Amino acid sequence: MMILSFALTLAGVTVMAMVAPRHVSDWFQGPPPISLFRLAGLASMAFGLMASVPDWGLACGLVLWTGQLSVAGVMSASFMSLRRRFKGRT
Amino acid sequence: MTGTLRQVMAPVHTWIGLIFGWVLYVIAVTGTAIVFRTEMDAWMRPETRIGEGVPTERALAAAHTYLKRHASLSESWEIVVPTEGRAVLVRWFDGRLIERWLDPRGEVLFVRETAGSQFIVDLHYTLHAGAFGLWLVALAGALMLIALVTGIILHKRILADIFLFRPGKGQRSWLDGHNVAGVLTLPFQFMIAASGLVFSLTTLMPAPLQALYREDEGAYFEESIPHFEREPSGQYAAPAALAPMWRRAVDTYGEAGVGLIVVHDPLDAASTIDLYDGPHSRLSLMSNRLTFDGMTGAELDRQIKYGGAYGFQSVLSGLHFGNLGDRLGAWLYFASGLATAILIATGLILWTVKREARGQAVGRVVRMNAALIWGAPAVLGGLFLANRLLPVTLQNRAAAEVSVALIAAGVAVAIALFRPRSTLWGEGAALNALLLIAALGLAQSPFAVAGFGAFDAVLAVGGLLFAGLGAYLRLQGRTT
Repeated sequence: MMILSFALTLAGVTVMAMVAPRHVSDWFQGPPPISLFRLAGLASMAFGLMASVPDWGLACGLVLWTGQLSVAGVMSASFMSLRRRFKGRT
Repeated sequence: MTGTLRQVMAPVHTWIGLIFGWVLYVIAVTGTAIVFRTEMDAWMRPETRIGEGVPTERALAAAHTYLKRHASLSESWEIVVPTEGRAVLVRWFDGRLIERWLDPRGEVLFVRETAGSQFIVDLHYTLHAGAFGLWLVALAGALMLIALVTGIILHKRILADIFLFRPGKGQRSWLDGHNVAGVLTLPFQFMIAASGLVFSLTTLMPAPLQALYREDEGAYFEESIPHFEREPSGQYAAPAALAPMWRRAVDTYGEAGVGLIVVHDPLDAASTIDLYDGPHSRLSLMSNRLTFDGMTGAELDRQIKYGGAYGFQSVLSGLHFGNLGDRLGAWLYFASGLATAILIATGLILWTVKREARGQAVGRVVRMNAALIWGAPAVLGGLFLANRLLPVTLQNRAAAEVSVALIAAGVAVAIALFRPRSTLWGEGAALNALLLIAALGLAQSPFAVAGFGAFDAVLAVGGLLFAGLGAYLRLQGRTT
């Protein structure tokens, strides 16, 4: 469950990062349905939270999920930055 | 007051950040390290490793027998229940506090004297400066909250640019790094600063306690944490075996198990024995307690529910410790603590980068920043190295360890103050890498008593991070 929770949270955060204003052109040719992507990202993050509750309970699960959200955020930001570099954009 | 809200907030953020950033950085680095306090203490006392497969009941019985023989006149005994594969620690008071590590046969083990994690904990919350240090840390914590709020106000595109990091662009990159480290871990930053203040609540805000309890502040804790008390009878009685009480407590506590056993008035007919639960996954710091009759072994009292103001404080304090989700909480707190240190370090560097771009001379601040950024972790690396470097039988060994730690920090400061600006950043990181890798190397030498444990992994990760950072900064010839 712990891995599932982190995977869902990371996926959600990454989708949110892909449609962030300064990253969207790195990933999409034309304008993507941003609202749809954001909804999917938020839903994935919410499922990540739900997956962390059965193991740890609501109180601890919420705290642990918030920590995972931060780590996932830093990983996504690094990934976005590396990809820009890889594509030769700065 | 003139100017927009942002213009007003900018100097508040800048100057709190620079002046208290130095204090906050030390707090962040030490706080990040003591996330692994349990593992660290086990690593710093390698002789306490006795191998797997010893039933806890047997080790406790041996400890109980030892205490009956050697501490019969003491008013109370404490038995710290070991984690898997570790020795039992017993404590009693005989004019002074006496501590002994015992193997499963009840024989005293020789364990090196060490400053242990307590040195880092004291550095974290008092800077080793007593009451003054505690107040300074509290002030820095309160100002950190202000720095966080002003930082949010100053960030123009906080949500839109939440994932934006553009390396290799000078000042812009430092600001991006500062923003990413801060914004993505913002819940942690607020929680850790606020809960840190709540931790010392009764010291920082004593008025409510004084108003309600007058001169007797201890009464608040007695009411908050009820104890079962019984007057000693003065009659000798043979004590009951610990094992049945231990089994009963383990059944009650489940996964947490028993962490600490306190025997009051041992060998007296009115003796009582408290069994507290062990560290485990929950927010609150409070321990549950079962009390047994020391002579018959019958359960007398239990305290497994707390409430009110003390409960509130304990939950927030527990949140500060992050002892949850087995060790997942520790790793997440470690990562978030690292982000906090990076947030503060990038903020300090940004101050100088910005001013140098305007042509201001800020060389001294650059060197002070470097002294602190590499000096604080060097204290920890120096302490770990000293733990393995110094002879185990040395007199006043704990103090000697601290001296070595301070010498290591002194070297980091000397590098920052006297080396050319193009090399000092890389060398500072290299020194830290060297300290951690040397400590790990000595711990893993053929003469070492312990195998590769969890804290060895932490040292390896830390050493590699510093080495990578040092090489990168050296190649870049960073002059900031």
